Amino acid sequence: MALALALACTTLTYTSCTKDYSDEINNLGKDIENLQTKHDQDIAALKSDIQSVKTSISSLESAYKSADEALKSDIKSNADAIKALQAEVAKKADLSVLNTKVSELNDKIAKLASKTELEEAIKGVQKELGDLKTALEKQISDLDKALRDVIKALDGRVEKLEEAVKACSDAQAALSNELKSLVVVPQLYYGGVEAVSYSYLAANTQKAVKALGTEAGVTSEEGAAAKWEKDAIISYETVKNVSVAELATAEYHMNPSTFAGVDKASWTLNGYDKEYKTKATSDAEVKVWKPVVNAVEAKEGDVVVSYVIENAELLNPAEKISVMNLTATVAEGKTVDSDYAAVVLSNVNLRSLAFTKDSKWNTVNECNVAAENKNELYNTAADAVKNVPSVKVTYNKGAYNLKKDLNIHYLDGNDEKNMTLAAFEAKYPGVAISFSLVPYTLGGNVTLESAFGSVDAATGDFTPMYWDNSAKKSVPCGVDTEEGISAVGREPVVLVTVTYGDDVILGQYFKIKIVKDPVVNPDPITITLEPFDKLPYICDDQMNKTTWKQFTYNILEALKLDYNEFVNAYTWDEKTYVMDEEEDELVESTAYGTVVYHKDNAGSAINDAFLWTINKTNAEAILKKDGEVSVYTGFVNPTNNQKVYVEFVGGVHPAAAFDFGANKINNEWFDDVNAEALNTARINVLVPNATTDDVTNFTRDLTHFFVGYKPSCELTEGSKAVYGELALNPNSTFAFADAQPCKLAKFVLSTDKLSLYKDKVDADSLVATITPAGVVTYATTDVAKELLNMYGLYVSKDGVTDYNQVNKVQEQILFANVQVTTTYGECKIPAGTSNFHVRFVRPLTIDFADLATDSEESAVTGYNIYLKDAISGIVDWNKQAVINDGEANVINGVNMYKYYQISELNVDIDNAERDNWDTKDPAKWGKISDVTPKAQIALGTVTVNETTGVVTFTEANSPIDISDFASLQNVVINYKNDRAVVDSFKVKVQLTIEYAWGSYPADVIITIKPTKDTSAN
Amino acid sequence: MKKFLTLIFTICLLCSCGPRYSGANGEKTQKDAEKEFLGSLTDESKREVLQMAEYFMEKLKNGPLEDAVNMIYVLHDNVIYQKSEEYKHELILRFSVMPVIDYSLDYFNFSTQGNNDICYTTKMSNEENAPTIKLTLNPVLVDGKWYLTFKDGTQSSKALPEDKQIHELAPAPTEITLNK
Repeated sequence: MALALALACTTLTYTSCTKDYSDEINNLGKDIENLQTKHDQDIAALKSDIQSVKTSISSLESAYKSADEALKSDIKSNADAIKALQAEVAKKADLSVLNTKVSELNDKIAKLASKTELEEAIKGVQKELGDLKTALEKQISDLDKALRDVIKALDGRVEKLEEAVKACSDAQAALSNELKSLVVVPQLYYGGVEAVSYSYLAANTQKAVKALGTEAGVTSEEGAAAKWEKDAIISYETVKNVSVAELATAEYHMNPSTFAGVDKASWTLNGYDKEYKTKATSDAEVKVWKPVVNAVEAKEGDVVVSYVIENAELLNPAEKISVMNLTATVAEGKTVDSDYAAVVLSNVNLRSLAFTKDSKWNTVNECNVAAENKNELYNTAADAVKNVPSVKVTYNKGAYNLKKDLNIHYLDGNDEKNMTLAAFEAKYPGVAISFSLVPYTLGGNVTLESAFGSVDAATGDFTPMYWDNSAKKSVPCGVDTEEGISAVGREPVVLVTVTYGDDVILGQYFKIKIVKDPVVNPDPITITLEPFDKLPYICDDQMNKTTWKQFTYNILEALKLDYNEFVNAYTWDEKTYVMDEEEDELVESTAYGTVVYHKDNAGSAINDAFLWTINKTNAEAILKKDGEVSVYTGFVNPTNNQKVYVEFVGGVHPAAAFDFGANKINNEWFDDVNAEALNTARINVLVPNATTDDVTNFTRDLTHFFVGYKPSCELTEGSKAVYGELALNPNSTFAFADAQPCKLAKFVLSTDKLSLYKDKVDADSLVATITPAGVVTYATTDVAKELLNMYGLYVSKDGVTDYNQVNKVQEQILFANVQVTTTYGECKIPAGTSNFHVRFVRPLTIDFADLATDSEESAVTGYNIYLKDAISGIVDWNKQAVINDGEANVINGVNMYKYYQISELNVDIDNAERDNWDTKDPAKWGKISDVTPKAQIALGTVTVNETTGVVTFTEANSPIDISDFASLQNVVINYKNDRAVVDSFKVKVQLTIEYAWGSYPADVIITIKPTKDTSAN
Repeated sequence: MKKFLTLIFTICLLCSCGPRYSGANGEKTQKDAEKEFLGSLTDESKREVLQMAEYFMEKLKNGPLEDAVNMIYVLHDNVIYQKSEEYKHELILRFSVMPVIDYSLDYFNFSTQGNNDICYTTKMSNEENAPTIKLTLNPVLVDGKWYLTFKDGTQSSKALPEDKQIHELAPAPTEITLNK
């Protein structure tokens, strides 16, 4: 069983990491449960057996003990009796008594039998006892043996069960330790292929340029001439490109995720770029890119591989895709391969070493990395000498660590970024940072500046030194003493190199000044001025102004300086700042406007000291910050590095809001299908009159639904306080809204939202258009006409026609959702939207009536059914009858029948059907030509001979021209039963009336009277 | 009466701002866009694009490669473009160097108009332990028609780690149009 279980456990096959093993695991779990249950049951049974045996043994023991005790008791009794007798005999008492006693004893003994008999009896008893004992012992031995056998058998079973459980556990363990597959976790995609990103650092190897010894022309900022020691490295020259391999990571899902052998397996990465080769300088050397595993660790079911790619610059060659996969060797000869992923190369270019922002050290070299300005190191020792010292180190405070004050600037694509040196060294194993001092003298000094310091090459710890004349060497300055004060004022130049292997890839410089007083860069002072009132949100630039009065009070009082002291000590930095996202430091930004400082109008309380200019873009950015922000501008005192920031608090009001269309002409508006009051405008064809005869003009200017033909656009009460005095010139534009709640069709919009289509955007599916000025036109496409005729009615379900009635029958109302967008200002600042519905009303409603024959069939002519009778009424959208008393109606001098261009009558004679042909199911409809082929049904016209009164039927094809109303009067369907005698039945035929706005179909039922038996005639 | 109706109408106007979205300021988010897109996507449409993808893979497998490559469009800056001849040539070369000997569907996922996944595992040879590579298509739906593109760059997918996928409260994606 264990073997079967193990086999079952190991026959799970892999198809995909994503296959769900829960069933198998559940089944296995159930098997183990069952096994466990059975095991428990067996053990319980065994225990019960053992208990039973124990009970039996206990009983036997008790019985034996009882028998033994009984026997002993008997013997003892007899012995006691004998003793008693002996005691009696021992007494020298009355012989007679003795004789009597003896006689009694003899009697007793006689009764007991003779001594021999007694002995024999005792022997017999003893023998019996002995036999009993032997039998009992044998029984006990047998029982013991049987018990031992049972226990042994039980042990055997338990052992087997344990083996089975162990085998299953081993199988489970084997499963979890058997790696089935690896699947890469993509970081991005490359042309559909899952990919990992890899960047290598592009750098240039540098060749040191050494001083010849007495170059002239380099002077410090104080005018002292510098002289280099011979062979001092004073700059570098680029030699060639080099790519520094990044230590990247890639992650792979493991199957099973519980695989525990990550540390034991060996891992390799393989590149697949097989058709690519680069010829190196030697034919024997073929360079290829090669991924090399650095370390592997398991992490939450995945394996994370850190790796470098050698010759990474060869990745992604032209017309090729570089791919890579991971191989795990889990046992000898057993490997598991992951799927391949593309390797997408990104280029990172080394730019510069620079001081960190936190260090507060500066150079004159600007860089563009966000919030990092003028702190890139110098590329030559001469530049470092010429400029003010960047770093100040106090002479008597021990070693100062320079490395923590530096970071690396680099270009990632087009983005300038920075990272700490520690992160740089971790990301690019093989690079190293080292420090040294440049040997040079300044002015008339004979002692090298570099003698006044020492720097640890690896750690960057700089220790101020002084020349100890007695020791004839440089020694470290004392700590917290004045020993070494001669070092004060000295300016050693530090060379920082970045190496990759044996090559220098960057070498830059900065200058230290050894100072006496502790270097304390004071914290900046921020002075907040009174908040400005919020500005309206308009198109034009606006300004917040600070007067000199506010400047005097806030800034000068805070700094305890008069105006001249301030302007002499502080320099405006000409920048505008905002707080960064984390709200913990200022960053240069003009997102919320620009601050300008006017210095030259001192003393006037009127002229502006600061101007904060906000344009429309700034206003939008401020609104995204809940309408209120702070901006800053800065001053700095170069002598003590004291910075002063002036904070300006201000904001922008939300956009103006308008009430649109309060001047609706109420009679023109109707309650909406979703019960919003007076929110629907009705669009219909024109009312015909003598001058308006174009029924196809289905256009309406929505502005005509408002008083004065112009929708009102008034500031809301809430906006008046801010915008009431401004000339905003609001403008409203119309379009179809994104949401089209009409359920009769799936409406889609053009990109500009001025065209409405059914199902898809193409010319044939156009339903309506709207102009930004609000003119709506219903389309004349077949799709539009079909929709209109099917759904455009205004009749509610109960047949009541009432425009003003709140009509909840949505499925009968065809409407579009129009959105009006209000803007103001020349730049069209959005000021809200409002929506209303536009309902498209069908031009005509035609009522069809069922017909019946009113005479018996004529054997010769059959039945003539006049189709004019099938049209019981035609009414237009305005509830005007098109036909009246059997004639075309004329209203306002306009023939309504002609106006609506009723043109043709289609009669689908070929598909006419009848009922009552199937005796089993009389209600079933069947095509006449199929079920009663002898019957004749035809479409045509009739004429009546005025003299003879004879009615003549002339067959005609469908459609029949009924553009002349009179021509409708004679159109008939002729039906003949071919003299067959039949009962009453019904005929169903579809009629379609064509008019200016499409087709209007309906099924008409004609009841045919029973045929008279003509055979009697 | 008129004032009353005006007041009611004003209240209705202020309320008729359209559907409220899940953004902090009511703006439409990725989550809203997904809900709308998935709500409008019919089973028939899903079947259509899956069949299209299957056809593409069959052509990659059985050739001619040009037929398969001709089905591919390029999505760039929210516009669907026909691919250039140069890119077409590159794709044909790529699939000839790394052929699709066999394939199986890994998973598919629909998200928004321009971000959907149909992912296949492809085998690159006939060996028993053939090297495999995953190919992910990003079908885009424009005006009711599907266009096959490749998942590319940092486009989101369900296979990416969660922190690289689009957050549900990120701004809704821009509508994608067809280059005409």
